[in-house]
Amino acid sequence: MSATMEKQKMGSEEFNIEDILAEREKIFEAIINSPFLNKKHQEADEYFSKLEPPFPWEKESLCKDA
Amino acid sequence: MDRETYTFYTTADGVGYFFISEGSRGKILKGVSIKPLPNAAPDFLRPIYNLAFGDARKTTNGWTLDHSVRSGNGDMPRIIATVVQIAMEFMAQNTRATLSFQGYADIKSLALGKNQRTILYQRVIDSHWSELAVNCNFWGAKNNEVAEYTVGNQYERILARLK
Repeated sequence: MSATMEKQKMGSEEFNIEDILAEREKIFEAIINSPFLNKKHQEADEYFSKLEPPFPWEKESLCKDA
Repeated sequence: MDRETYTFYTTADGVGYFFISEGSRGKILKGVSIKPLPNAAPDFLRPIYNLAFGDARKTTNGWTLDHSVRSGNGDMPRIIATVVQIAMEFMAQNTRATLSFQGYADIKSLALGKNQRTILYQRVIDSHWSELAVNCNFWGAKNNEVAEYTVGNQYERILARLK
């Protein structure tokens, strides 16, 4: 009983691979359009847009040119 | 890599993946999304893609994704090894792509009230460095700067690209 409640509390589900594969297109659609994951992508884009040069490969080039 | 991984499934274009985590709390569906970062600054590394993943749950409105931190399924090394394998497959199919990913917030850190990220990806990279460094270049980003990846250092985000 408590084990069942704990699983429900944690959001774990008992399912088999056949059920999952039958819904694979819906699952992929949810993954690709996920607001949660897309927010993570947006955060990464913002993070990398703020990176400042010189980058390591530019430093290597400068060393070779010197 | 010699770490055990889960079987994963992917879309034809390789931008969506899922696999099933099996641990002490049962089976949990994990979804992985890979998308381009159009505004990322380092021209040299373009195209740059980001890898993000979370738990997929079925609701009355269909499937939804949220943070994996809650799962605590006791199989995190296998999950991370699977995600790394997915990253390697993506890069093998997109040989000019750079892939970025972020450290993973584990449930113990949050339970202790620490908003710190345990860089589990880095543990995998560091422990397999001699093998991974043969085929990939790695960079680490922290405090708005990017540097060559150094084993043992902690970064906010990691970049990887096939040589």
